[in-house]
Amino acid sequence: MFIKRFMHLLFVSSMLLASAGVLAQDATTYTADEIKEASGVEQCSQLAELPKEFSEDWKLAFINPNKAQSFWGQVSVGMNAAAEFYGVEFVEMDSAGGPDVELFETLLLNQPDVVGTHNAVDYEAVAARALDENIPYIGFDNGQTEYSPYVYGIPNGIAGEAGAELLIEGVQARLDTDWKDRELFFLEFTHNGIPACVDRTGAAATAFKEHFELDDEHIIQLDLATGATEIEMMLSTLTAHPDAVFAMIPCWDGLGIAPYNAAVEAGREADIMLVTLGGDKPPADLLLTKPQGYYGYIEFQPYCEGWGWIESALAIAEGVRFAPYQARRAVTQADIEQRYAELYGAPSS
Amino acid sequence: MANSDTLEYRNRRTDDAQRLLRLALDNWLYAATILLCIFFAFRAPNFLTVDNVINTLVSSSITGIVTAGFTIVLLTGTIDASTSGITALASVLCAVMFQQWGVPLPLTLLLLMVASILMGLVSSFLIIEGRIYSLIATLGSSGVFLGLSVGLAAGQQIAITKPELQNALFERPLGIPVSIWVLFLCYLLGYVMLNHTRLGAHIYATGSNYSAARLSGIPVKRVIRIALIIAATTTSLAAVLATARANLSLLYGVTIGGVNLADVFTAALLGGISLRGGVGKIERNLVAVLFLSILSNGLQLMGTAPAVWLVIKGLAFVGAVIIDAVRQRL
Amino acid sequence: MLRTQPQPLVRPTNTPLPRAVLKFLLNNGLLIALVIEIAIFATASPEIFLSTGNLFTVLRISATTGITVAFYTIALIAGQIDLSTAQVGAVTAVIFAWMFAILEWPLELSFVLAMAFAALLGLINSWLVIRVKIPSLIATLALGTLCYGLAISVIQSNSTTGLIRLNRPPLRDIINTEIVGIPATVILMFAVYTIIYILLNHTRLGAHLYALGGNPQAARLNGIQDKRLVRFALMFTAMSAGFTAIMIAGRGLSAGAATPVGGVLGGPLVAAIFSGVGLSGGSGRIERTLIGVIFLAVLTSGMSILNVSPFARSMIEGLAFVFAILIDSVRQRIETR
Repeated sequence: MFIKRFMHLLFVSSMLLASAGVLAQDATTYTADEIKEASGVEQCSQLAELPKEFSEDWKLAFINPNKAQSFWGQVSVGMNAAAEFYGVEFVEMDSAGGPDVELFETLLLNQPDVVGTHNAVDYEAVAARALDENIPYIGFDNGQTEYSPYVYGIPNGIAGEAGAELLIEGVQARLDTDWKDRELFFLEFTHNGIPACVDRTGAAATAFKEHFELDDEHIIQLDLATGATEIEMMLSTLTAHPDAVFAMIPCWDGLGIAPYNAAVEAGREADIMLVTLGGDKPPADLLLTKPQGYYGYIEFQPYCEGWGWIESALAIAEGVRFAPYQARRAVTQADIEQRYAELYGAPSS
Repeated sequence: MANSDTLEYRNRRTDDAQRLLRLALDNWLYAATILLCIFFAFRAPNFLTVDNVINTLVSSSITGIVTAGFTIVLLTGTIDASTSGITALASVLCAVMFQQWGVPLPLTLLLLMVASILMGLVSSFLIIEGRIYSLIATLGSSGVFLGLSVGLAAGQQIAITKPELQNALFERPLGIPVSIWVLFLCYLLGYVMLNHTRLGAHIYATGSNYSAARLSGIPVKRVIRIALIIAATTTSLAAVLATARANLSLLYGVTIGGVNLADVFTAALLGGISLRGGVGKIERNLVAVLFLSILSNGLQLMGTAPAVWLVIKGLAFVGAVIIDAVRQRL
Repeated sequence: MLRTQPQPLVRPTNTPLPRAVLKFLLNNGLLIALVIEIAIFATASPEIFLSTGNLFTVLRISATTGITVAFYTIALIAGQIDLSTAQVGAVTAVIFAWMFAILEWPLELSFVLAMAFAALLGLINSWLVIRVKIPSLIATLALGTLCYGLAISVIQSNSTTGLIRLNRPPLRDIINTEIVGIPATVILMFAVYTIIYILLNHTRLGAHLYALGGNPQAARLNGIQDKRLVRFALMFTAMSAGFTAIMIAGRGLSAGAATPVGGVLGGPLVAAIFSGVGLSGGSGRIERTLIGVIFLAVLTSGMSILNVSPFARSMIEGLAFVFAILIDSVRQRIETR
């Protein structure tokens, strides 16, 4: 009797396993190709093999830091597209540059199953609140916190290092040719009131400094928190070193483009090399015109990063493994045409 | 207080001392600017080079142009806090018309002038017809302009890829960038208008005593309206310059380093413009703008740490305000 | 000799009915607007907006801004405009974080010293206003610039991230304390408003504040101690700004110098103006300020629940502000007629 029951159990479980194996191959989980197709021109890569039927009706919630900014606007588009694709409810709020802690209380009223925010100033506090309520928290580009086991996105430090890597490539090429024997400075355009910036450009500065073995005097921090504009600071720096050349990384695209133009206005375009971080449409538009010293940008692919956040959050809810987001890519003058055509179609003349 | 000296002698001596003190206090800004230049000439490398002079002027052009219009409004006894709103709307309008609709540059600038007149009219309507204190009214109109700009741009920044705007503004007639020409032109026009026209006299009269000016037949409402339109125009001009440099429309909430009302306020106050109106000279404000620009330029050439630089600027501001208060009491 | 509130010169019985109705509407415009606002959001999102959780959220948002705005109202009534609250708050919170989290001093000591520092900043503001005779608008703008520099300097010499982390217990638990299920900060806010209400309407100090703001010369001639009043108003504004900043930093687990970028209706000045406190001094009612603060908190929370797009949001905020100041100007004109 016992053996019979055991055999029965064995049979049932093996059938189940077999069917799971078969189903996994065709219908129960989404494949990477399906995701690639569903995410349109961006062709995002799949981060988690999610089932087509979820075990519950999950509800996800996210506070966007500022949808008016084009990068975060794209993140929002990606998130909403993914939520629609997976057929889950998605509650989104916008703190428009302000703090998230208060808004998070309102978000909690929706009784979400997984929550996330991006705010370098108070994300830990939000994670701590989520922990109080026993709701999994998965941040966005924030890095690790002691209040949550999950990490998602490109932490600011790594983003800065990726930018430095690309810049090093560009600067090395110039040093071998027209910048031979010139004095090299690294300009870190940042805002000391914004922690994400301090982290991001700081990491870039460190990486750049190590590679070229520069001393502290050749790393110049240009800080918006001083109240001076980026243009003012760029122009002063140019005159402070009339014979030098400059490699620069800003905290966000615009913070580099404006000083670049100031250098053009000052007639020093040949002496600077710029790599920006973010890479949405405005810098793509500029790079397409091939300015002499704009080497390229690190594209965070905001749409895919938003899409991937939804996948990762659902993976947490379902208890499925998820891979880290790695879709950052470097775009330079060499491949901007191709990339631009992929994302935005033919450029308007 | 009186002990050994005779009263007469003491009076004469304090008269002389006071006259000297007043002379010093009246011109402290000029003196301080010159001293600052001498100090930096010795201590800051590359300070006295043609390139640096031009670059410092270019740096101060945006704040300077905004301050010119702001000064004229302040002289009428009105505070215009709508700078950020006007900047955002003018920049977005410029980007939409020039980049998206393909309007030629001269026509874009002309239409922006019209838009500036409308923006000035909105603020002056709230102040004059709404009888709202100017600081409050312009905060309100600024909010509306900001909302309009974000709506017009559909929540996105617009990249400027057509080269004409930059080409026109980065031109260097006689070796001097266009922005510097515009800066000096604004102050020259302002100077002539304030000192040699009837409108200028009316502006001073309105600011120093509104009721008296109205009773003596000065069209005070029209004066304030014109002043606000002038300020909106200069601010729009600065916004176009900022847009060209950024290659982007300036979007509220994103442009942290854009035109800053606090900078404009600081410059106007350093220049000795009274918030109550009627007192002040526009040329002093140009020097104040340059003073601030030279200060950051010099400290940067010396390689001072940004935090130190911020504290020095704060101290300079507090000091300037105290000096000005002492001057006015004498 | 001095009345706490301006009494209408015309007796109410003489007012024709439509005028009385108009007057009632204008006097209670903000309250009516609040009711309409709540009705709109309640219809749009009944299950979330009308929950107890949201009630507390709205009140907690109100408390965060409301405590500073309450003292700010006093300063405005006394004729003082303080533009330094954001920077005074930032530097106070940063210095508190430095003492408590980096030097690891006891919580009580750090708090008391930080508040004393904020009070000192308020005293400097009032010294510039009273002794040096600088208009408050300029004096506070200048000190604010300096405070911002100080805050950045302290942060930079103690951290590479632009923030001082503030996760040392038991700060967060204390700030999030609840008394009979109501957040302590909310109770504190109502206590502050009650005390200020009594102070402004039923004490000599309150009467003197209104008199000073309404007509400084006359007040001085009547023997009112104007200097002491200005010092009182600016010191408490600075301390409330510092207190609020410490509270926000403690709840946010870090102190930084970032001034919030977004939001058309930010800062205590705008909130006070929105609530109908005049800038010329001598006018403004604290109960109206409370309603204004709650109105703005409901607007924030309601638009977040409905996920209103950012540009529609800044339009709505801008228009609400313009509408409020227009109504207020009409009200004042009818009152003085």
